[in-house]
Amino acid sequence: MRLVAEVLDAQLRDSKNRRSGRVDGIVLELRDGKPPRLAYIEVSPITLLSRFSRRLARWYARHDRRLGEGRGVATRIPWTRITRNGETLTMDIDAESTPINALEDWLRRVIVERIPGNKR
Amino acid sequence: MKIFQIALGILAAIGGFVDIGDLVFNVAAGATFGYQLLWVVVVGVVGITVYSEMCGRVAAVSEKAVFDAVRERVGFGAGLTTLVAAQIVNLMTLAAEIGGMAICLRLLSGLPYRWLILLAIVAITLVVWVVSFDWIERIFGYGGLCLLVFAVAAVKLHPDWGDVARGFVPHVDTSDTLLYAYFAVGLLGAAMTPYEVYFYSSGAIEEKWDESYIMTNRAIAATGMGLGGFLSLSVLVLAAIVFHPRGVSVDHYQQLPELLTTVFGRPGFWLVIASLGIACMGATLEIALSLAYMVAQGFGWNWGENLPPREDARFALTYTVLIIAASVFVVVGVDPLKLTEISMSLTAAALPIGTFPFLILMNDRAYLGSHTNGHFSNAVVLFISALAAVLAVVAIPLELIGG
Repeated sequence: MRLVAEVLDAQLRDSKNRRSGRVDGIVLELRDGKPPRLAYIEVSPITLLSRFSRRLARWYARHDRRLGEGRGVATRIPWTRITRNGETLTMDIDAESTPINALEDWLRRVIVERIPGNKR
Repeated sequence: MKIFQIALGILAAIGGFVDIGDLVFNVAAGATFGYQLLWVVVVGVVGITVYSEMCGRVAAVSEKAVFDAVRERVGFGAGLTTLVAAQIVNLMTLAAEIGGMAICLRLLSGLPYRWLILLAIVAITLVVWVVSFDWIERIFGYGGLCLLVFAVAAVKLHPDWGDVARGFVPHVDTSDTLLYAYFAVGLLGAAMTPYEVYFYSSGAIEEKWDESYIMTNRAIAATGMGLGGFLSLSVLVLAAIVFHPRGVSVDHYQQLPELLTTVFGRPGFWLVIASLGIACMGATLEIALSLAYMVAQGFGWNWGENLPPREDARFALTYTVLIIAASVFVVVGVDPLKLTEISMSLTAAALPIGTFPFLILMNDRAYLGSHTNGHFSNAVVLFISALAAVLAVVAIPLELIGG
């Protein structure tokens, strides 16, 4: 498997087949005398920003931390929970049970559900 | 039946070719240079048809929209550059379309322009929140066919077909070559707007295309874009008949109704309003959605105009915010026609930015299998991008310096 070409930036879907972000980073586990193993994927603006500027990523994480417990760090999904289907990765986890969709949920609750026509 | 999805091609084309700015630009080109610039529209039509066919092919084969695929295969850096360039250029075009809707309402009611901008924002936001993609496509795709009235008017005025035919052969019969090049850039930019292709490929995903749509896609891209180009040519020919012989210079929207009132009398005025209204609203929806599609696809969010807004909150709020942000331009008093002119020229200049990641994708066997580009498609894309960029780099600065 070519990690950068085939996993990094790939679309991630959750157990309900909803688009749930992209693979912003990959975490490898180093093992004595064996090749490294793909342990986690990271889905988070913090990881995405750190690919360009660590300072910007730290700034974002500092502000994100204020939004509640468990925030301010990148969300990691174990690779063992992922299945590959061509270019799309599907996790066997509902995205709503993770912080991946925290912003989406907040916007829905606070803004969208108060606007008539949101259910169409 | 698959062929009824032609509405997607028609809507994509109408939003791209015959919105208010393009209409005024085509009219100005016809009034200033007669039939001389017809060939540029043909180059643009060939280009956008080839682009659209490729975008539809990506969607059918990979079941992913083009920008989705660009981010995935070419990476975040190239994706972000394309995204930023497209958002800047198309936000200006979106502003111009909202202004165009207000202009239609002003021609209709005579009320103050700024109040009508607010009315236009409310109307467009309501439609985009309440109406699903399928219905947007049907209403504004098939509704756009009323623009054929421009072709009918052109035929009724009996143009000299020999002169029209000569317009399809590139030639410069004017001492003002700079202005000629500037109009050529604008007409190319008008035809080759990136939001058309992003909208088209995202629409294909909304309609759940798969590999069985490869041939349908070809038919839809060719027919839809061909129709858009035909309408664009009709407007240019009509303007060349109505305005060019009298040496009338067209630089204001209030001159547009004359195109049809010359032929149809007072009903011509209502036909212009109806055509402009449908074209501008269709174009506004197309641009707002395609910009939101790009952002959502770039970051992997849930998206779809067939989904109710509560199921893709970020996507819904993105198009809403973009509509409001774009309208700031026109509310503060920027002339929508000037905005379109600038955005069309910038589109031509920025064409290579989006072209290279796109070409990499279209030649990626790992992604498209046996459906990668042939030499012809690659050559057409490279030729038109290079032509547009060279013309833009030469003509725009000189034209701006020269006023």
